[in-house]
Amino acid sequence: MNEKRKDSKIIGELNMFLLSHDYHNYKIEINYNPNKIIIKIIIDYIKEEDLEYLLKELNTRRNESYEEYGWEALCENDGFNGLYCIGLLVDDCTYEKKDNKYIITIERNFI
Amino acid sequence: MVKKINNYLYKERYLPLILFILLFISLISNNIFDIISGYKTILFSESTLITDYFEISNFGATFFNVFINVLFYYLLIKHLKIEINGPIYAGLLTILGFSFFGKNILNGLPILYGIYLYSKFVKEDFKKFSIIILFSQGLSPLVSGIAFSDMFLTPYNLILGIVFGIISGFILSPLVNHVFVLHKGYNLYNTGTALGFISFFFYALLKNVFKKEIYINTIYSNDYHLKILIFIIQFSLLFLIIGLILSKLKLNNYYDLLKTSGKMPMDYIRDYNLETVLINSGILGLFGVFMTLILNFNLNGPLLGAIITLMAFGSFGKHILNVLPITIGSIIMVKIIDGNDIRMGYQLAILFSSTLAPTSGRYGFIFGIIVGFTHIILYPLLLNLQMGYNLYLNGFVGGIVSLILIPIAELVERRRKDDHYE
Repeated sequence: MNEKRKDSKIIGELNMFLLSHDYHNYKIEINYNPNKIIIKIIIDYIKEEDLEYLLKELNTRRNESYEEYGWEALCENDGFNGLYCIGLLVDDCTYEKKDNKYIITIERNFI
Repeated sequence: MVKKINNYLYKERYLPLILFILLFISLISNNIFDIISGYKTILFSESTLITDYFEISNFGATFFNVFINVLFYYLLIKHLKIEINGPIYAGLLTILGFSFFGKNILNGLPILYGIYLYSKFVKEDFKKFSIIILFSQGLSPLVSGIAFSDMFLTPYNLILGIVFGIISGFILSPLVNHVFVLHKGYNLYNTGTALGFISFFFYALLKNVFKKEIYINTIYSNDYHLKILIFIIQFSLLFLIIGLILSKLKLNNYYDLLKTSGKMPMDYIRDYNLETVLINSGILGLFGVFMTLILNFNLNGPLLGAIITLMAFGSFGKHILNVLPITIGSIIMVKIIDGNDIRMGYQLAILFSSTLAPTSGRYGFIFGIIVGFTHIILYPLLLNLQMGYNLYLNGFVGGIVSLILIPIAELVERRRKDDHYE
């Protein structure tokens, strides 16, 4: 259950980031397998600087020591440092362009 | 060979070098028999706030205590295969600082065991609690303050001390996560806030249920000012010089670090690199020394611990620009309250008020000064709620100050943004 709450926080912060940057037309898909959660954001268009920022913040190395230290209250959807916060909880973020859409894939392994 | 050693030390954040320095100072300061005898005194002392180990023991034994504590928790982190990032580095150096007054290997073990039991209870890997493990040690005096006092007959004092320690460790993790809501990441000594509530509870239990009278210690040394001054200046310079050498005197990263608010989560080792953190910590250490000198403080164990804690958070939220306003505010208010003859508690509060450094980093210089004022105003009352059981008392004060002031800052900021858009 704790892992699902973290996953929910991650999705919430991603939503906050996109909405606060005026992106209103996108889909979020979630897939679970026994070892990880895979979150996909499918969006028609995202500005290069926003995409770069997203990739940068979510690709700095995951920090296990934050797993039980404050993620619950720190990732509070206030737009200030939300992506930094969830960057501590995710393993990988990549993107591809397919059929004129951007597909941003975020992965978090269960440890 | 030299390159290999340097790579190893870099990876280990120069902690093996720090350990060597601590042991070296211990062994050259006193003979081995005095060290052993002094160390025994430390281990079986009540260690409640303020108990300066330099005063109850000796110089060599105190440094030996510091060495043993840092070694133990460093090896624990290695055993758990945790990477030494910003918060972990801050945690280890905080243990270093508080090992001069209140923290020893014995009084921390029940709390550690309580956290371990909690990890088993929630079926999570113990390593996930690594930050909490390191910062939990602020409650060590709760264990020794009961176990080695005459509050209860032996062996009940020992049993109660250990049991209270285990319970504290067990409930700490959920409480630490809960208190983040109070301050939203603006109070760097977050665990101190949680420890404050726990020690408040146990103090109330001892006073109201067990009908015990508890007194605050004020034991500190006046004998080692010069020795401590030489040590801390050299310790700070060591950090600074190593950082400058590794960065090849390029300070771009450090200038970028100075622009951060420091609000948690913040990991300066992760975001920049170790050399930038070493520069930052070295400068913070020298700043702490400078403050104590211009305020004419006589250096002792607790003040040394406070300066080292300032350095510790050089990896986890503090820098000279966000620390300065809080410190200025604290000094002004202490001068109003105590004049030129500043009591030890306030001396420590001035240095430890920097727990709220992110508030000035985010909301500006004037707000930082107001935060410093408020910290000092609340400090003595909140001390009386805990009676020396929480070494990270100023973390508790910081949590309450944040609870009062952050909503006001947010309101003002929101209003400014609304006015801008009208």
